[in-house]
Amino acid sequence: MIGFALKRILAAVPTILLVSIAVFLLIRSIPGDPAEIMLGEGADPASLAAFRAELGLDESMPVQFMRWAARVLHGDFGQSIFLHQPVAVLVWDRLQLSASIILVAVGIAAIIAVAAGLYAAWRQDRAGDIAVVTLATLGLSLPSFWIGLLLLLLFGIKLGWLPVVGYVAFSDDPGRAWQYLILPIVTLVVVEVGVLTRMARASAVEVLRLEYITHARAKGLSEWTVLFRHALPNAFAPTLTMVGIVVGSLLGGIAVVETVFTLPGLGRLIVEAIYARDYPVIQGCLLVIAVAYVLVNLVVDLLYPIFDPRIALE
Amino acid sequence: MSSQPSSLPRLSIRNLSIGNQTAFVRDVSFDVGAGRILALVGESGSGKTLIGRSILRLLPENIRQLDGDILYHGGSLSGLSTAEIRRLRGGRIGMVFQEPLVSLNPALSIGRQMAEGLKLHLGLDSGEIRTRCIDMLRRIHVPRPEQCLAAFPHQFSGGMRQRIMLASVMLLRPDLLIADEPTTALDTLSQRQVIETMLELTREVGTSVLLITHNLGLVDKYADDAVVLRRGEIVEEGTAARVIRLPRHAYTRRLVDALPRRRGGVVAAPPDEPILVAKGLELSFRSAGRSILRRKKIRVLHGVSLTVRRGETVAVVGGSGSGKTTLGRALLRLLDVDRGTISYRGADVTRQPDRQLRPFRRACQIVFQDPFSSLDPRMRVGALVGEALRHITPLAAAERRARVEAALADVGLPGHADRLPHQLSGGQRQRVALARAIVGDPELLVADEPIASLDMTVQKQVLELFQRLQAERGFACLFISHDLAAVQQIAHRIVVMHEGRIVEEGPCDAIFDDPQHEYTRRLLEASPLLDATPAVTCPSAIFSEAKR
Amino acid sequence: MSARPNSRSRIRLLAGGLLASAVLTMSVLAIFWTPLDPNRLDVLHRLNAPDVRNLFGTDEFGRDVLSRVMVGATTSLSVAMLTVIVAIAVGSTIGFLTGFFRGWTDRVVMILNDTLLAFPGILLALGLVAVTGPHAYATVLALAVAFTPKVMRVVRGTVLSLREREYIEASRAMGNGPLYTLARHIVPNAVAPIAVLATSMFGWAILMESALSFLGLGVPPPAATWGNMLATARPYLTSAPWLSVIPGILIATTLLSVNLLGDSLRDWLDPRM
Repeated sequence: MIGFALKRILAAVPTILLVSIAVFLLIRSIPGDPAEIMLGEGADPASLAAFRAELGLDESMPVQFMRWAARVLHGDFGQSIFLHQPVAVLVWDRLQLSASIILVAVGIAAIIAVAAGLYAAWRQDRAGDIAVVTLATLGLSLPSFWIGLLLLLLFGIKLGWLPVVGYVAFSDDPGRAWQYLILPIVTLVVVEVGVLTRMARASAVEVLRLEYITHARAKGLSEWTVLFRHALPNAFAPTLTMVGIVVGSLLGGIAVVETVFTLPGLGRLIVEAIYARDYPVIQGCLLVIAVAYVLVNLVVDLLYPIFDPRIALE
Repeated sequence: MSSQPSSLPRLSIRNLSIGNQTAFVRDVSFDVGAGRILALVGESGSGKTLIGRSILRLLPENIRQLDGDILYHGGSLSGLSTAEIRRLRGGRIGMVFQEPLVSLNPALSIGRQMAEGLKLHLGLDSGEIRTRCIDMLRRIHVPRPEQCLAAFPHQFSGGMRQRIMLASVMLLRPDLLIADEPTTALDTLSQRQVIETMLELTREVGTSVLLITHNLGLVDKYADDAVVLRRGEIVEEGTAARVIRLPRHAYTRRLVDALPRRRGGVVAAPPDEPILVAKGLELSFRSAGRSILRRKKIRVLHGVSLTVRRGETVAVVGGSGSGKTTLGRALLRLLDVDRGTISYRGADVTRQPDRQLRPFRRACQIVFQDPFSSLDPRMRVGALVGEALRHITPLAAAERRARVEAALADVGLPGHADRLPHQLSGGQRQRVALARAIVGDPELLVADEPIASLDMTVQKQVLELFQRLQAERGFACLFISHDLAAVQQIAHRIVVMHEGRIVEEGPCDAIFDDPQHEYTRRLLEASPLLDATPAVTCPSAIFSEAKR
Repeated sequence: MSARPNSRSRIRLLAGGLLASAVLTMSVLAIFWTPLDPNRLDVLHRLNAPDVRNLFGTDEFGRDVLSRVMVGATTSLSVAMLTVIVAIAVGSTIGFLTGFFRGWTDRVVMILNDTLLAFPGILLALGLVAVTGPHAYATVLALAVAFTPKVMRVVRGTVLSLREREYIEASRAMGNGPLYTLARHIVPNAVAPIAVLATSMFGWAILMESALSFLGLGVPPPAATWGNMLATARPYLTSAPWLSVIPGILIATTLLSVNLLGDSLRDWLDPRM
């Protein structure tokens, strides 16, 4: 088991390496002087020259990459052209907010999805199942930004229960902070619960057809025990993979929700950086989000054997 | 047939009908006496599984009991509530299923699954449960029982899993055991182990057994009583011995007839020119592992040498893992050997690239085991068979069609050229595969377990088809099988394989009458055979098991 | 021997088909005709609620929302269609070849593919837009690059499992060459999963394009897409709510129909797979 974990962790390393190479190459593929791109057009000649020396522009690409990677590993992601802050600090602050919203929303969605999926599979083709599937399909079809806007309209404006714009950091004032986070989280839950429920239902349906479920019933176990001890672990495993994918897609896609609710998150940062051509920030965000995704998948891989022991012992 | 009048039959089926809009089981009645084994015999579609499931109310969603009653110790089960049935499940009436792969939950450890029933029905504490489980595992000769409890089902072989499942069911000492095809998915040796385990455990507790099976050999050897089902109705019942040796109903007779019997008296093929000669074949696989470093080399063939001559049938037998399937594929160059030579009519074909192998491939064909995956589901039968003629160049479309039709007629499927595979039964698909193999007039046919997945009567038909085609067209045949009983009917020579080596070979009669090697003897013992030349209907037929 | 079409799947097919035809008709129609000129500014009549003249009202520049929504349908659907075609074509070709022939090219391609897959889809698209700048064709390119690795992986996976079927071995045993086997036996049997993937992908493409346009990084104004219409509607959330509601309904309707049709397709093809 430990061997399996180690192998998986080691396998993530080359992926992270390749990802960083891809990000590096992407930014370098922008036509123009790399120094001007990274320092902005208004930079003075002295800093440009110094930067060029640092980047080692006269050396070969692999060497340039290694210099860049060395700085990144030391935490130096460069400086934002427009916000005049170290990119690393900027990204880290914003990441915390986005990550907490994503994890809470996906956590809630996953719990609802597994419960609903199991229930729907148990009641397959009857009223309960049809209701669940219909709702899930509807949820799948709603774009997050639209739902966000509608919720904002309803709860923020028409009913006035929740604040419409702005944000209060959790560390400053938890009592008020959560008010700003409810609607974004609810939006994400609505949007993601559909796809997760369908996955959970599909795997639960498959599992309930299998013989060991009949065998468990033949032992005299109650339906509850059969569902939760026998069906759930096997049905949950594929849903877990889906959860990883959903978290990953939200790492990028949360930009829209953050835009609707004007939250200072990572998604909005990258969008604004693209507008402003703030390449150091773009690069930093791409790198951080991609690495985060790799780590998320790693965690999913490591959790998987809990539900499906066959994987660890291959 | 009723049991002794003095004691109540343990299980009594009375006029049972099961189905939905149509009745799949109609008006079935029989009794299982105390401590006796009753075999419920039938082919697919006979309804035997449904009867087994209905006892514990485990029928699939849309099927229910339509009529009749099920009595357990004289009390009706039909009137019980779900909760009451649940109390019976496991504790009083145990059930074992067919597929060891999916009968045990892959996500839970063996120990947990064994303990579940004990905790539920006997309310023991975990220490006591653990002790009992370990004792039981030891009894069925599972090595290292303590570690076994913590392990997961996929770490064991099919036969072992089945025995573990039997053990965990019998731990609760039920007085009725329903065994639904418990050995069908296993190879011959494992089958025997599983049945013997079942017998041992049930005899000890005095459990009655309802054995659901299509394997008449098992019925003959192990069952006390037998009930023969056909399409949901009973056609015959009685003691097992009587039903098999003196069957009254035509269908029963057909089933018994379908048990392959030895040619008896047919001379071995005259020594003729060799078609395929293999010398010293060695093959290793690297086990599928995640990292390249961790893969282990598994030796599958150890220096195997084999010759197949014109017109003869060589049977290659062995258990799972013996390498026989790999050998079949290696001989046809579908797998590459690491060492050794293969010659076709004197020409070395061991390392030739596919392009140059066309004449070899035309002459040496293969029929696979699984009729469901050996035919491209999107192609019609005519195209499937015709594809084999692609490389016979001077062939006009009309002539090709004619040959395809002729081949289909030969295998008993005239006019089926327009059908799609999913419209055919398993036996029909195997015939199509056979037609595809012979349409090009091959010299050698490799048949890899071609009848294993088929019903017993269908098996007989296909075997006879093999014989007839071979007699008519004169091709040699390499018949790979784990079932000795099947090959005794058609083989001239038998080659026995075990763990990648040939341990014995010789003429069919010699192997059956006087096996030399230990493994051969074990294989023979494990397959109960019916062997005789006179027809079964003759009352004075003599039956014997294979001699030791 | 497909699944017996029960009433549930019939309703699903019907509903999906109806919705899809409505959207499709709208988008095709818009190529030739719209009730009013979608680009005509009419500042005197800005932010009008829906009435007889403008069935969906007017936007902040006085443009007819209905006409814009129709044109938006054309744009959004064409972008999505183009994306899917490119991604499927490129991804399948690579997937078939690498999956069937394996070898070291397969390993190299897989590594490249896995690297691309290590990025969440929309992030890849954002990254590409960062380099190219927002433009209709850039959007197609960005989305196609984001989707192709997924197609490649699905197709390769399908080929890997089909390869193990005995009829593939049988083809080799008959003396057929590998390209023939690939074309004759593998490709037709892979069409089903690819078709299902294509329908899902079409839905994702619509969603991602509207998300990108909403962020201002997709199809740029004055061209109308549902996404950028929602973006420009934000300041008028209270004063002109229809501007926010209507384009969203259209996106949702299109997505719903794609999902329903995709499900029906999967149901029909499933037993054969």
